[in-house]
Amino acid sequence: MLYRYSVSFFAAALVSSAAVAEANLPTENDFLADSPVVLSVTRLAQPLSETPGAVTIITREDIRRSGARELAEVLRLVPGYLVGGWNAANLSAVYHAPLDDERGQRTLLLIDGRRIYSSFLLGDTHHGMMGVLLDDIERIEVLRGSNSAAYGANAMFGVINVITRHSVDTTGTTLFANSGQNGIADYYASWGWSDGKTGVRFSAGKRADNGWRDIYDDKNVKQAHLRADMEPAENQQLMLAVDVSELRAGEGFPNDDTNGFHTVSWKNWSISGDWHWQYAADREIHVLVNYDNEKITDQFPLVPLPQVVIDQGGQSERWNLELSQQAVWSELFQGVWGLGYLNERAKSVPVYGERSPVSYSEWRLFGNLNWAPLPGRLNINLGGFAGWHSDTGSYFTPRLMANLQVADGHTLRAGVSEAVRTPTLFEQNANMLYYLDGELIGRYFSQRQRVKPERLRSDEVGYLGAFPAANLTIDVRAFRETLSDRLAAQGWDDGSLPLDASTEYVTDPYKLFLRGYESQTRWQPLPGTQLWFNQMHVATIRNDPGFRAGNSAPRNAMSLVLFQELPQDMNASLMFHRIGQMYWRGVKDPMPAYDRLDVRLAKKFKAGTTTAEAAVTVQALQGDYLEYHDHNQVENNNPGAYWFERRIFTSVRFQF
Amino acid sequence: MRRVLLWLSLLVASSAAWASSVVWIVLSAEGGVYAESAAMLQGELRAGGLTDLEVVVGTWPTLRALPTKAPPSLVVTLGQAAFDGAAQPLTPAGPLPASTPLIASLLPSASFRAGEARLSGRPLTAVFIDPAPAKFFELLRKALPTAKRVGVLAGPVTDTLLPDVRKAAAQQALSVVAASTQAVGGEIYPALKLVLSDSDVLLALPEPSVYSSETLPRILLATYRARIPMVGFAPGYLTAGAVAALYVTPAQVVRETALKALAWSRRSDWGPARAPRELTVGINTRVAESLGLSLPSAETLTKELLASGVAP
Repeated sequence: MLYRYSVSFFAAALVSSAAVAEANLPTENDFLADSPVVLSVTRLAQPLSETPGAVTIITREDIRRSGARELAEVLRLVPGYLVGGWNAANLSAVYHAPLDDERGQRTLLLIDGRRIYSSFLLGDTHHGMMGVLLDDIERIEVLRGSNSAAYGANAMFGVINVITRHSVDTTGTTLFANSGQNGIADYYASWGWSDGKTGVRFSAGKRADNGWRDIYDDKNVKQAHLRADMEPAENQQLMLAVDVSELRAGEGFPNDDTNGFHTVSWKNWSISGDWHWQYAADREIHVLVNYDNEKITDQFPLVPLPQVVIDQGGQSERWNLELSQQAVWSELFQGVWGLGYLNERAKSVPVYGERSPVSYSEWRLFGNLNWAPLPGRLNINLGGFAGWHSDTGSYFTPRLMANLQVADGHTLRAGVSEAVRTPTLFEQNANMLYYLDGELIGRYFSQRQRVKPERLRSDEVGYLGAFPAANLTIDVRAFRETLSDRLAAQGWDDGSLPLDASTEYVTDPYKLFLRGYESQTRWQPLPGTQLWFNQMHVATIRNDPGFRAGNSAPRNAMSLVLFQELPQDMNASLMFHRIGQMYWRGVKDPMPAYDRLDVRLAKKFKAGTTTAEAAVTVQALQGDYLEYHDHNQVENNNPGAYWFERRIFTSVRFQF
Repeated sequence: MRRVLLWLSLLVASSAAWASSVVWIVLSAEGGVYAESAAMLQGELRAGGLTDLEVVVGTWPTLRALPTKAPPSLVVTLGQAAFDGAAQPLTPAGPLPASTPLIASLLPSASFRAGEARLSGRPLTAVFIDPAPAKFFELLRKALPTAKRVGVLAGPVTDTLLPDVRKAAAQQALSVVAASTQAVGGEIYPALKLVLSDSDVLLALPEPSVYSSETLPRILLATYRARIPMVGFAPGYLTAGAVAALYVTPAQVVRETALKALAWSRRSDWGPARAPRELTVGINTRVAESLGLSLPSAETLTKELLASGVAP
C-alpha cells in the first residue's frame, strides 16, 4: 500500500539522508548530459578480425600465472615460438626459424614502441628481452608473421610488442621476490605516484640463476626503469622513459679456443619520449624519439696462445626518430603513414679494427591503408615500407592482406608480403684480428665483402573463429615463406697469416623454404578454467643439392596450458610443452624431442588495500631435459651435453 | 486507525479537488528537456482522457509569483531542483498544503530518497530516471555472460546502496567487487586500481564524486588499458566508450508519469516510486569489437529486459 511504502522509506530516508546530507547527490544532468568520444578509433586497438595478420595476446595475468621469470620464457606461450639458446644466459625466443645461429635478430622487439635490439653485434634481441621487468608489463601482443610492411627491416618474422603499464595505473608500492633451487634469486620493487592525470613509476629489479647443468652460464641481470606520463595539453599524452640494465652472463668452456671460459657484461641505457596528439576527432599525430646506448665487455685469452686476448667487446649507440599520422578518412578508409630516421654507430677496435667506428643511417617512409569495401565484412590492408639505407641502398617491403568475415565471428584471412633484414654493423664491417707483440698474426672474424639485405617472401592464409556459446576461440595460420639471400657465417683462409681460418658473412646462394601451419585454441569450459592449446608444424628446407632432410628447427611443437581458479583465492597453472627433435650445427648434434611440464600454485591474500600473493613454481617437473648439445666441446674434454635441471622456486608479492 | 482515516480524508479531498482540476508541472529550469517533457506530459494526459484539465507549467519562482489561487490538485515536479523546491515555502503563508499529492519525476532514485522525508505526510510517489540495480545485473548477465565479477567504484552516495546492489547481483549469480573512494581518502585512482585488478567488467553507477565530465575520460581510459569493458547508466557513456549502457529516456519517464497521474485521477493506486517499465539498452559495437567481445544487439537486449519479470 502506498502509505506503508512511504513509511518504510521514511525510516530509510532518515538514515540515508543523514549519511548523504553532505554528499554530492546525482541529478538528472548526470543522465542527460552529452559526453565527448573518449575511446575514438585512433585510441582503440584494431579488432583481431581486422588485423592484417595473426596476433597472440598475452595479458599481465597470463604472465604471472605462467611462472615465467623473464620475457623469453613467456614467449613459450605463443604458437610457433621456440625458446632456447647456446646457454641459459642467452635465451632467445625465435619464431619457427632454426634456433642455431638465431638470436632473435629476425624478429622485431618493441617495448612501448621503441625498438630493442643490439646495434653492436648481430641485431640480436635476446639481451634486450632481459631488459624489461615482467611486473611492469601490461600486455604483450605478438604479430606472428612478417610485418616489415608496417615496421620495416628486422620485422621479418614478426613483431613482439611489449606494452608496459601506464604509470597512472601503478600507484603505490609493489615488492616481489623469487627464490629457490638453481641459484634462483630475483627481486623486484616498484613505486608509483599519480594524480590521475600525471603519473610516475620507478621500478628496479635483479634476476639471477645458475643456468643449466655442467655449463658456465650463470646469469645476473640488474635493471632500473623510470616512466613518467603526462598530459601537456588537452588531447596530448606524453610518455618519458629512462631505462638502465646490466647483465653479467657466464660464457664459454674450459679448453675451448674459440670460446674460452669467461664472463660477459652488457650494459645498456636508453631514453625515450613518446608523444601523442589527438588534434581532431579521428586524427592523431605521434612522435617517438629514442636514444639507446650499450657497452659490452667480452674477452678471453686464446687457449693455445694465452698472450693473445680475443676481445669481442665494444660500444654502440642508436638514435631512432619516428613521426606518424593516424587518421580515419571516411567510413571506408583509415590508416597510418609516417617518416622515420635511424642512425646506428658502433665503436670497437678489437671488433672493427681500423674500420672503427662504423655507422649507418636510414631514412624511412611507411604507410598502411585499411580499406573496408564492405564494412564489418571485408577488410583490405595495403601497406608498404620504404627504406633508404646508407650502406645497402633502398628497399621496399609491401604487403597486401584481406580479411573476410564469412559468418559472425568467423574470419578468413589471406595475404602476401615481403620483408627485409638489413645487415647489422657487425655483419657488414666485422674485422676481428689477432695481434702478437704488435704483429698481425690472424683474423678471427673478418668481413672481406659488403653484404646485402636478406629477403623474405611470405604467403599466408589464416582463420580466426570465435564460438561465444562455447567460450572458444581458434586462430590458425598457414604459411609458405621463402628466405633468400640469407646471411650465413662461412670460414675462409687465404693463407696469408700464420693463424688459420677466419670467418665472414656471405650471402647464402640457396634459399630457405619454410612451410607450415600453427594454431592457437583458447577455451574457457567453466568460469574459472582456461585451456590453451598451441601447435606448430614447420618444414624447413634448403634447396642445396647436398641438403639432408634433418631439421635445424623442430618440425613439430605443441603446448597445452591450463589456468585453473581454485577455492580459497588459490589458482593453479599447468604448462606442458612438447618440442620436436632438432639439430644444432648440422647433423652431428641431434637434440631429441623433449617434454617440459611447468606447474605453479598460488594463493592470494587481501587485507584492506594491501594485496599479497605467495606461489610455488616447479619448472621441468617431468625431469631434466637436454637443452643444448655441442660435439666440439667433447673434443675439449667438456660434457658437450647441457641439461635444463628441474627446479623449484617460491615467489612472494606484496602490493600496497 | 488513524492511518485509515487519513487515507479516507485524502480520498475525499482528492475527489473534491478533481472537480476543479489544476495540475502544476514544475520545471527545474526554463526550456530544454523540462519544457519538452512538460509539453509531452500534457499531451499524454489529454490522450489519457483528462481533457478538462487546467495545467500550469513553470519553475517554482514562476509559480510562487502567481496571484493567489486554489492550491493544485496534483503537483508533478520534473527534475531534482523542482523536487527540492517542493519542500520550500510556497507563499508567505507556508509550503504546499500537506494534502497535495506530488509525483516527483525525472530525477535519480538516490536524490528522491534523500529528500522525501521533507515531503512526508502527503501522497507521494516518484518516477526515476535510473533503472534499478537489478536491471543492470540482468543486462550484464545477458550481454556479457562470461563476466562474473562486477566492479563498482563507490563513493558517499553509492556506499549506502551497496547492500542492495550486492543482493541484486547475487540474484543473477554475479559477485560485486567494490572499492569506495571513502576508504582511500577520497581518491579515485587507488580505488579504481583495486576494483580493476579483480573485475571482469566495471559497472558505473551514478556517483557524482566519482563520475564527472572530468573524471570519466580518465576512468574509461584506465578500464580500456586493463581491457575491461564498462557498462554505463546514460547514453553519454555509450558515446564516450562504454561497451553498453542501460538508461531511460525522458519520454519514457514522461509516459510512466502520465500513467501515475491517470491512475490518481481514477482514484486507483498509483503504485510505488519506481523507474519506468520502459527502458533502453545501447551498445557500442566498435568498442566491443576492439575488446574482442561479441554482444547481442541493442534491440535484442532491450526486448529481453522488458520481457523478463525483473522489476525496473
